[in-house]
Amino acid sequence: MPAKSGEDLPLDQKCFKKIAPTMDTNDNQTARKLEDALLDDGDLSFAELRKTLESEGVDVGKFLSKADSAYAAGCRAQFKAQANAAKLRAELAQGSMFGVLEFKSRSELLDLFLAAVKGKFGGEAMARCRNKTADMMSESELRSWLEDIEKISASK
Amino acid sequence: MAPEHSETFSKPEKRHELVLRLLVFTRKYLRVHRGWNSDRMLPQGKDPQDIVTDLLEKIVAGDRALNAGDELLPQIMGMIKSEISNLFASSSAKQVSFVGATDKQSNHEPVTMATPAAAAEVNDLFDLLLAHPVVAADTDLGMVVLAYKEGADGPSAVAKAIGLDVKKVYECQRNLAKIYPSIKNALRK
Repeated sequence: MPAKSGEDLPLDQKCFKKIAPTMDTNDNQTARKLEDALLDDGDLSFAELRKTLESEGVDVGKFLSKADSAYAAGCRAQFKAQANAAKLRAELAQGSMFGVLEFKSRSELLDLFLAAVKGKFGGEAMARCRNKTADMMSESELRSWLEDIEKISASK
Repeated sequence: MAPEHSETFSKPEKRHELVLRLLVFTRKYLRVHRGWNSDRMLPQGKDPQDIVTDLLEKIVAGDRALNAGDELLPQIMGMIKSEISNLFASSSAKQVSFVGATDKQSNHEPVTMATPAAAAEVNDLFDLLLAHPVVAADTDLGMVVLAYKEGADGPSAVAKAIGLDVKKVYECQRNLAKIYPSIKNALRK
């Protein structure tokens, strides 16, 4: 049973080993564990951390503002990356759903539109075409509409 | 980013606690292993706050990935060590010298024993620690040193092994951190 305080325990390795015989004594690990311990402030509360830094001359309020700005900048960068990735996916997907629309005639575009209304290209395309009157659309309008459906489907 | 990690960054109170812990860690790591103090600038004109905030931005932006299954704080602390190592390894850093620090502390290699080291050198380290006046005068501090010499893994294990309150063990560790750089200097002479 370990002693209650270090006061009544001699600084004797053999005596100590009897208390904790299962401890790992690999030298590199031993040194590493000591160095990890020197850096360990896991017991300090937020208030104590703040006090420690202030006592060392750190303007904690200013640092936290700087950290918040860094967080916001990171978020903006992440959103931009995601938007670029979605745009790239949409560009790569062009032509993958309806084929290359650029050279299709109006009647071919209309056939694709009617197939989309019937669900041939999935629920998303069907929903977007359902309430549209293709007869009133010009060839270029029809082509643009189908291209938009393709991009939206690719970005999901 | 994994949901359990993203909340730590997105909620201000959790983010603030995280960055304060990281700043305390960064400053201490630089002091213990690089001979730094607050009067000195780091390479590239940076300071410890820059190291923490730059890394925070990279993690949130997705430029540095976190492992979802692992604890957050140890991962980021590992990244900080890596950032510091890269900072000192850059060509401009070779001209940086901390006045008063040893050559090894100032520039390239961190003063660490966590590299393949002769058993004798590790024993010398602990002997010097035990012989240091601050440790010699404090029985609890001496017991903490001995516990780590015998392979204890962390303050809870030390507290259990020697019967000290864990808060007291942490205090002892902080006191050891203050004298550790001088011990390392003595070891390299």
